[in-house]
Amino acid sequence: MIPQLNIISMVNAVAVMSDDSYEGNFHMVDNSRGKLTTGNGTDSLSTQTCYGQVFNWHVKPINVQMDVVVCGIRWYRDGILITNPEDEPVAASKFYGAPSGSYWAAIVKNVEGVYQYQLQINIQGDKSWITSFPQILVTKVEI
Amino acid sequence: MGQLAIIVAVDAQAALAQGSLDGHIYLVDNNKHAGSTGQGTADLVTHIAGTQIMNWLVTGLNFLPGSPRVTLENIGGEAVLKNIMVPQQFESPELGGGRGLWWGGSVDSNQDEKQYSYRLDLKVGDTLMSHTAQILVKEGFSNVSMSVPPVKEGVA
Repeated sequence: MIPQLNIISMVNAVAVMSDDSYEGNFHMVDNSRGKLTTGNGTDSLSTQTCYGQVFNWHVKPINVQMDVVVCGIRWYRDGILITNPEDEPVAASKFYGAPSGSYWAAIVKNVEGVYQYQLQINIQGDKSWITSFPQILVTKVEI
Repeated sequence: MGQLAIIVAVDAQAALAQGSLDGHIYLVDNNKHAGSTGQGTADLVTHIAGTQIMNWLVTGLNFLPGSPRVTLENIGGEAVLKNIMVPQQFESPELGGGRGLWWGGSVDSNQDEKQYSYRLDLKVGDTLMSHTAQILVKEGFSNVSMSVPPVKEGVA
């Protein structure tokens, strides 16, 4: 069984609002076992994954009094926004509310290659897209 | 005065498998504007200028039932031993994910600008592991008090 993959994004929400940018204020880490996974701790995490793996994207505000939730995701291939959901590398992509914290989840499809994505973050009711382009590297190797 | 928060993210399963936190712990604070370096790495150096209260929030990267938990058990080391940092554990019913407990503290320095290490004693699953982090005290200032009573003092 492929272990679920969690990506935790730590966001300095106060700085995002004052800078009007996520640059330098957004850090991603994951629990991937993929040897090709890189960029832990940065805003440009590259996660090696495989067909059938469940992804969970969580966001944690560094300023705990802030209300911050991941509320959307959009995908890119070769830098071009994917507009047809059937062309996205993941299925069942949706928001889940949970007592321990809300998150976004999806399952990797039977595809190969590199896909970039952006997360949409809701900070205190204001939704915005992160400025970086983290990515997934879908390989045939089971993680 | 804004409170300073440090998120400590730990890949508990990987740390337990390796028997070490090396490569599996990531620290981020909200004091980048004051010059903190090493954001998102294990080598965070939190710059502290002016009166400040610090809070540490620990999270694991594994959330499935049965996954090893990560909790902060103590804060010690050089900065605590020298009374530069005064960490204490507090209780909050709003922090259910951490058993309602969190570590906070203040820094008290009237010395020259200097970097101090401190030690985070983490319980990963049933295993105690430690990580050394750094603070850079940029100017002397007076101690400040937390507004709630602690349930535990840090042991150097």
